[in-house]
Amino acid sequence: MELHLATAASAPIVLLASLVYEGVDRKLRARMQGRVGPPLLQPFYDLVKLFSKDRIIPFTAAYPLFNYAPLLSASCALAGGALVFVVLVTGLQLAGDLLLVFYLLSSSSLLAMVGGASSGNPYAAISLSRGLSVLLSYKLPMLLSVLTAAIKAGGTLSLASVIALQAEAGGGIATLSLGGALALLAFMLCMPAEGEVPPFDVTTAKTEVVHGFLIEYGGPHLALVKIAKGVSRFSTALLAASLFLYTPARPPLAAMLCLLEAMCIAVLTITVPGTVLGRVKPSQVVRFCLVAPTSIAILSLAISLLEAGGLA
Amino acid sequence: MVTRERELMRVPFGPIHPALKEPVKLTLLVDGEEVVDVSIELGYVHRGIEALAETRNIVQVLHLVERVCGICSHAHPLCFIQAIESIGGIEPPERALYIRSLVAELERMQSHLMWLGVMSYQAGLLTLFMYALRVREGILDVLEEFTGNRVIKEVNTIGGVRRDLDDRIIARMRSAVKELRRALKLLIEAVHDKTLESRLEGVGVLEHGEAVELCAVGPVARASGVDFDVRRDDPYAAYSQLRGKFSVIVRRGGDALSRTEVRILEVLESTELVEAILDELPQGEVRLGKPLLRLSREIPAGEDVSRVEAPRGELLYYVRTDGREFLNRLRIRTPTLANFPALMAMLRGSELADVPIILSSIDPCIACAERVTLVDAREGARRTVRLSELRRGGG
Repeated sequence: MELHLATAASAPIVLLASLVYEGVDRKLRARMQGRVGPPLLQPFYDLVKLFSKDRIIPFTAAYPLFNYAPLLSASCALAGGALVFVVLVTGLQLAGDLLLVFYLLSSSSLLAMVGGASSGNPYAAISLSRGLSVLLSYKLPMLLSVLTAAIKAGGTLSLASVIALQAEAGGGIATLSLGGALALLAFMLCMPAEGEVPPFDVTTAKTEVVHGFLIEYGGPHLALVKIAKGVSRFSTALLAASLFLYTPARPPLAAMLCLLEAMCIAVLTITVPGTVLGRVKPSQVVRFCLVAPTSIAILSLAISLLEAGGLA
Repeated sequence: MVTRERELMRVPFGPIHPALKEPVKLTLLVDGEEVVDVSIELGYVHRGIEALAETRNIVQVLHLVERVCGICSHAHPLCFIQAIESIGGIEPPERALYIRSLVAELERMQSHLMWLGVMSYQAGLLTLFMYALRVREGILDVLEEFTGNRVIKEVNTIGGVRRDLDDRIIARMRSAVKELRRALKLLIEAVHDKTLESRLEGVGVLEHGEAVELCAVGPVARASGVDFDVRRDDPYAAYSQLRGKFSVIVRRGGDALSRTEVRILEVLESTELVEAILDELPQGEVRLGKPLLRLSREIPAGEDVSRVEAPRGELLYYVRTDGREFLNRLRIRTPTLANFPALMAMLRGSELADVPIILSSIDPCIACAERVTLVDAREGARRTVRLSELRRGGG
């Protein structure tokens, strides 16, 4: 019961942090492109505007799916992000919460895409088929690098024990061992795909598939999908920060530090590639994810298993 | 084949699409990500300029053709006025011819830079779009300073040009061109960025034979190894005097990367040309002493075909005058129209993700419409509304 309350209380914090990141992202991107850029609070204004608009549901849409998928998607993303935050603040031991967070964040992406594709728009259908292959190809190395962190923490799938290990060792996993550093690298290589930014923004590419699954969404629906996307990309960065770069400190301070680190990770892996790189083709995304991050993740897993064996 | 038919999906690309700046409708028959077949439907922006030209006198038409295209707003009147001058046997002063070439080259630079921006936007590289358009501003600024306008330049007149260069504007142009050349180095580096290159290489290939057979023109043809440029092979304005001052850029790849290279290097060639023109600018008048209206009345009945190398390729005008300062017929063949058959050949067999890139690689400028299609989403029925129905307020 307490966990439910704590998660519910953390959700707004995660939402706020992800919106602030989006503002920073847009501002930084504009400055890199030689533009002035929108005010830092623009994402907030956008949400207010979108929520005040009417809903439009196409005749061809499968109504329940099209209507409720954005809400479910945003809830999944918020729950996933809030869970990470709660564990960071309270250090609560939950068996298997790493998998739960991973599952929630994946469901969020999946629901948004399926909801959009149920609109009956051919662009959304193409976007879904692209999105599924991209999702499968980058979630695999991401999961492998999460498992590396779990192995470091003695084989438990609980975030709290990974954090406890880092607190004890006095530094993040990525700074302590080669295996951890490689796992973080693999995780970060997958981040542009998670954030749907160039070079991996094939599912929502405007010039190719007209915003893909977002095409028929507008108003509150679009606001929810945007929240889902923003929160899940920030939460993924937060997960990376707490799994690999935890800085030992008193719990509330440590959580704040993790939020700050997540912001830096997101800038490095979402804002920068999104600005300096062009979009590649769907087949190239899949090939890249299945080669570079996956092999690095497998290597890190193997090294970690050896290190763990050596310790035992 | 019946089962295969079922897997194919019909994807509309336009008339309204974020990858298009102007309405044209491509219907793509798609198998997964592969484009099996494509059909094109033109006519969404038909403005009836040719018909309108037949109801106006020569001076009015000169201002009308200036508005055929916002990017090549110098190439069109230049092509038109050459035909008129040839019918009337009028020879403009040397200095005027140099100024015509000068503005044509400045126009080519801004057009190619704009194209580079649009192209990188299609490839998802918004940053290069911003940079390219910022560099283009430098050229637009000098054009504005010289002609008074960024877009509609209105430089040409029968028997010469309407404005003369002074020392101040010549100095401004020199510094703008120098600055452009510096900025161009950065843009060329950006184009050879790995992700962008991988999107352009081997995409939308047009073989040399196809380019010849389908009558491709301009940078599209030159990127497929067709060594032809109106400026060199059928010189107009001051290009016969400037022959040794520029080279025609030809590439053999025939893909989007080759077309990009051709255009970027053409900007470099244009910077050379502008400097050469400013160096060699002859002294003297820039137009004939007679009033414009009297000149236009003196044009006899006759016909002529004129062509110029617009930024997008060979632009062709057929003009027939009636000897009473009006036109019997005006026919405009824009380079984009000439390149559509080549575009179809490029699109067949390509990937869906490459369609916007291929489309913009021919630098399309679409202007021609007479009807609207309504699609009822519930019944899937299509109905065409004719212009006459729209006029009646039906539809």
